[in-house]
Amino acid sequence: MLPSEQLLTLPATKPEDMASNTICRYPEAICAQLRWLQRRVFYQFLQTGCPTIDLEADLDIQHNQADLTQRLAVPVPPVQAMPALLRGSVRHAHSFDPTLIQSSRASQGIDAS
Amino acid sequence: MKNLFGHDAFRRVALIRRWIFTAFVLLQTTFGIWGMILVLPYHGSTPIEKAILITFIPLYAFVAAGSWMALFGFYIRRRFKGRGDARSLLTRFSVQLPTVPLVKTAVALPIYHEDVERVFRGLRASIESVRATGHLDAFEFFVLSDSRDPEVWLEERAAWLMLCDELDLHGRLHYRRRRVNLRAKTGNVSDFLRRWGRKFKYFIVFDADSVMSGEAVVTLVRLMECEPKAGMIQTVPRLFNARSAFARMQQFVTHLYGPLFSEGLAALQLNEAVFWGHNAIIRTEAFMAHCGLKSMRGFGLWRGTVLSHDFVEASFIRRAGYEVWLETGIEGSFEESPPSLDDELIRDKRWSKGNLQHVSFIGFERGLATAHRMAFMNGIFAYLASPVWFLFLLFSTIEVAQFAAGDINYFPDARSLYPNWPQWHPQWAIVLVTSTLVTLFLPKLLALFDLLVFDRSRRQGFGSVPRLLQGFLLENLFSILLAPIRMLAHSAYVVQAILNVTVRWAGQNRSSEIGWIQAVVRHAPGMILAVIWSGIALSLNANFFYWTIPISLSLLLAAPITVWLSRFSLGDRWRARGIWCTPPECALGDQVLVDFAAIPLPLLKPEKAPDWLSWTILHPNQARIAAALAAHRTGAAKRASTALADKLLAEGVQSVPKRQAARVLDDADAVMRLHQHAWMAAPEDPWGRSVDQLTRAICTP
Repeated sequence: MLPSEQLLTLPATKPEDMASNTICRYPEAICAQLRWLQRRVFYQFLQTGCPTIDLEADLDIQHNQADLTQRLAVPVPPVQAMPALLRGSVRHAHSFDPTLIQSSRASQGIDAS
Repeated sequence: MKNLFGHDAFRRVALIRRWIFTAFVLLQTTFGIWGMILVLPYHGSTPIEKAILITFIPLYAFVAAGSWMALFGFYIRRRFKGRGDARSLLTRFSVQLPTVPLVKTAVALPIYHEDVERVFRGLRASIESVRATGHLDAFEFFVLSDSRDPEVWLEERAAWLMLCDELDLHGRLHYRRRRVNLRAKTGNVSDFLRRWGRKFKYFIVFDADSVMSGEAVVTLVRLMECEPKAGMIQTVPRLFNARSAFARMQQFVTHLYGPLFSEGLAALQLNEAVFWGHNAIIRTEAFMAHCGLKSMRGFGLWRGTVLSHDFVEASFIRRAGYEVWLETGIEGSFEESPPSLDDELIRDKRWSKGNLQHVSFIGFERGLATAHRMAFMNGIFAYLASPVWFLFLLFSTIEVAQFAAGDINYFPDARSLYPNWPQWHPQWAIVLVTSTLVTLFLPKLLALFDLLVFDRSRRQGFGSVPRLLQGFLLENLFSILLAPIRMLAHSAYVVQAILNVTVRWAGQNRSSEIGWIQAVVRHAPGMILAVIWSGIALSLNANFFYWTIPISLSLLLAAPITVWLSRFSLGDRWRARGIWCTPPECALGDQVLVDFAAIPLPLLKPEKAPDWLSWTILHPNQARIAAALAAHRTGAAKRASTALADKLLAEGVQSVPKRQAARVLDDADAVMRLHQHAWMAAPEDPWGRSVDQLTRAICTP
């Protein structure tokens, strides 16, 4: 599997299929638990694009934080945008030099006859 | 050129053709001048009549040159029965062409703040078409972005990665964004050549709206292999994918009249053609050795970056002895039209300044081919014609005003003892106007004739004959209406260019309609001028007023015409009725266009997701891609990015301007630091809030 195939996985689930309300209306202790569960699940969802998320919710904050930390530690894969450099120069051409042009043509193997 | 580069096989035939062409233009212009002298009451002896003549001569010669060019094209098409000029590369190498092996070629697509979806749709259609030829291995594709707005370049990058994935082109389809946009498009291409040019024998330049068929791309490479003297081969891009009425009209024009004009131009230029900046192939080493453009060292507009670089590059590569060909026979080369007149005029503003810069190359650049100096002159006068026409109208009005005021001078020449009676010859005025109209419209009629009588296979692409004729008449009506509007705008641009008003480098609008307010504001000066001019004309002489109507009416109607023609609904309606149909619309176009229209492009980011910068930092995969593509900074750069990351960590992404904040994406460590911090942040932290907002945005229906 190519690196970007692992990475560029947009949500395959429609947003309307997701939990509809993320605003917490429970006591603070429960809210904190739900928040970390939500973060862990949502991160997993964005990362894998997995349409089926394990909903056996473990509300333990430390468990979810540890899981998230583990997911955040996934290493950065190599992605190459451009090939290796092969440097050359683009010569300025404002000064007309017939000799330069002739030698250039000779080096290109262009028949001047 | 002969002394330096040996025998030029096309020199003789080129000279014969160009002299014949020049003779016809001069002959017709002489008749035109003679007619004008007869029309003028004092036969050109007063200062104002001299001024009228001075402005009339280049205008008439320019119109005559365009007309004879098309007539020449008609002759070439009929002489070679539509197979193309016998001297063209395609005709000369047609036999061996299919067996010529391909060599490594780059396809470079420089972009700057373009519609990302459109750019990658076109690129994908072209790549898939090249793949269908079975020669994809010979090509590598480079998207060269100069975009500065992170909302644009982050989207470009996501689109590039998606295309790599979908076409399995990792390592063959590349994306590079310049951090420093020196010298706009020329700088971008030069930067590419300096880094990777030596890997490729040839490179093909695309514009943001280009689409080329695989067959066209492969043919270009093979022609270069067949003719080692060829430095550039330019194709003739036809317009496609037009929706607004204006764009569809332009599309109709290029498909109907284009073949005649381009054939004539190619036949006259032969191996000294020009480069139009895109949809062309270039010999890399020759270009790198001879076409680097320095900043100009003159004054005013002749100082700084060369804006219209393409003509100059063609003239430089020709000066080095390489040939430049315009190949009219290569099908499958396409581009898009601006959707409205206003968008076309915005583009013309840049082009007018660029063309006027060429004055310095005509006069002060040694060793250029005469054909290229003429091409520079043609380009310059394409814009200079507008203020000259404006002056012609002004002087004509003054002449009429003098007579209306009864200011008749019987001794215009102070040294003459004999009176000079003013004479009016309305019949000569009618003859002159008629000859001008014939000169203007004959090429169009010939193109129509050529299509109807000799090119029946292509004719089917224009719909039924009655609809074709209806479209032809409508196009001519609108071209008459639009000409004065263009004239006034170009006149203003020429004055602004001479005053060296800065031209903004911006991405083009390729897909939006024009609003009423925008149109009225833009065309208000012309509308006011038309009212004043018509008022003066009416007060001077009723007959003169009638002569001014075609110009003043179109200036008065400029805003409604612009708005109306920019409407997509009108374009769609007329398309449904079969008006301005063109081969690509009638399923006679290249397969690449069919593919272009059918390409499904999924959303790069959910609609409710935050802006691209936040999305990139927060999204697990986007952040890692950003980190993978970023540099590992050291030294001062590292300290700067760390300081920026610290500020963003503490105060959130909104705490600094977006372009500045986006610099954090240049440092791999900083990106991942921000990403990890955001997801572990407390709910009251700015980043914690951002994560919660992202969750709500994505998950709330």
